[in-house]
Amino acid sequence: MNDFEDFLTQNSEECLSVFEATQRIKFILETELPPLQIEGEISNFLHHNSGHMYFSIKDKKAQMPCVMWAGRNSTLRFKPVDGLKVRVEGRVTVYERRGAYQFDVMTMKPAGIGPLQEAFEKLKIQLDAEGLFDESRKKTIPLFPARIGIITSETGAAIRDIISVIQRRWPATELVLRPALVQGETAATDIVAAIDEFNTLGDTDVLIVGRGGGSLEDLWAFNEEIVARAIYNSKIPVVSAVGHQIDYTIADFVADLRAPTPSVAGELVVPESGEIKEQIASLLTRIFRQTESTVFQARQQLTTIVKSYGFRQPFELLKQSRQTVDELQYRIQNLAGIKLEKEKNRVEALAKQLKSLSHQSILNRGFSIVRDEKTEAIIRDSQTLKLEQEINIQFARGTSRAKISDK
Amino acid sequence: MAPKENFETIVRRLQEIVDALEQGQTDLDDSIKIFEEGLQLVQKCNKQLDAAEIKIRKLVKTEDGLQLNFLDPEKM
Repeated sequence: MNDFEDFLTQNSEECLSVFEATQRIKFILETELPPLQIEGEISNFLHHNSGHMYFSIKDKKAQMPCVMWAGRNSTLRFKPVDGLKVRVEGRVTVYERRGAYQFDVMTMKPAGIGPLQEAFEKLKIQLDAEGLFDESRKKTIPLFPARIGIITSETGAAIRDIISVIQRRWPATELVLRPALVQGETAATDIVAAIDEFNTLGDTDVLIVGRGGGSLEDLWAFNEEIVARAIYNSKIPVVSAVGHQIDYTIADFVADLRAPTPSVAGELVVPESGEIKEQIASLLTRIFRQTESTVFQARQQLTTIVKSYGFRQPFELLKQSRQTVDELQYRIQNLAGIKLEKEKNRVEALAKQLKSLSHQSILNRGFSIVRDEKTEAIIRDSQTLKLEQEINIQFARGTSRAKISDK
Repeated sequence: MAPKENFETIVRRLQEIVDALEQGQTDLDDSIKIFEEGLQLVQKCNKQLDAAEIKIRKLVKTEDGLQLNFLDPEKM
């Protein structure tokens, strides 16, 4: 018999003290059991003032008291909480004073890839293979949506963020909220129904589907296959807006555009009205500049006509028409620099006056156009005419042929 | 809701007008016509842009089908 067996074997006369018996049990447990790795859920977690952590790990059938000493738990990179699934590594020890065994935890880490994470990866690969994430099939988001559909919780921060961003950037639009559950078991079917309703309603330029950030479980509806397919099948472009920055969901991959947060979704779907106003102002400047030059050219043409044939008309009429054109040009030049809205009516009146300057109205006022009978070229200079040359005169109504009888 | 004249269409037409004017292919009559049209379009744009209040509605499914109800953001 060696010393070890001697220690554990009790002869019939001997009676052990409680401590002696506990010592034997302790000895067996601590020497016979190798270090163990155990996976379970934390419960009754207590981080004591002393720095030591006391808790149990459990599964459905059993639980085991654990201790993780201050020196060891100081390097933990996560915060253990009740319900968290963890993997602990350590040894079984016996606490003599209470006659209880406990697990002395050396290391603890969150339990590997959870079932949700696994489902996520699997669905992502499957839908990617089916082509649901293809860039080529993504719809373009319209530049100036007149109606924006929003699918999110009516009470969450997401809807308030979206409204305030769009109100600030582009109030010239209509927001339609379809309140939806964004968390829990029925969330996915509700989101799908909402997408379908907007497609039935029609007349909506873009949809924002999302919610604020949360745990993988909280965001789960946005990782469900039916939601992914509803987004894919939507005729209205969909912008996904789930969570804070780092949270990627299946909905993000399949959406036509991914916004990292609901606020950013607001920024992505509408332009900044100030910028657009500037662009329109620059278009307006170009319109003015071009029209001014067109009027200037027309004035030159008119001058030519007037020079050629004006002598046949009362001088006063000629003067008046030139004055009108001069005045028009002057006013258009002024207008270009002045605020549009106040000047609009003047411009309209001006435009009407300008209209009266078209060549038909000039003819109406008694001017005529002389063309060469054969070539139909307009004759601007009497020097070019020859005796007996046949010409064609166009009046306001009708034309006549004539022959040059005197030069 | 009677669909308001699409902003994008207005801006596109404005751009066309500027292009047409700048290419100088239009005669005086047409130039003035599209000049006027351009001014009206700019006014329309500005009017839409100056709309102070965003419209907010709620999509509700009833027995009669889908309805758009007024929604007061203050009460959310």
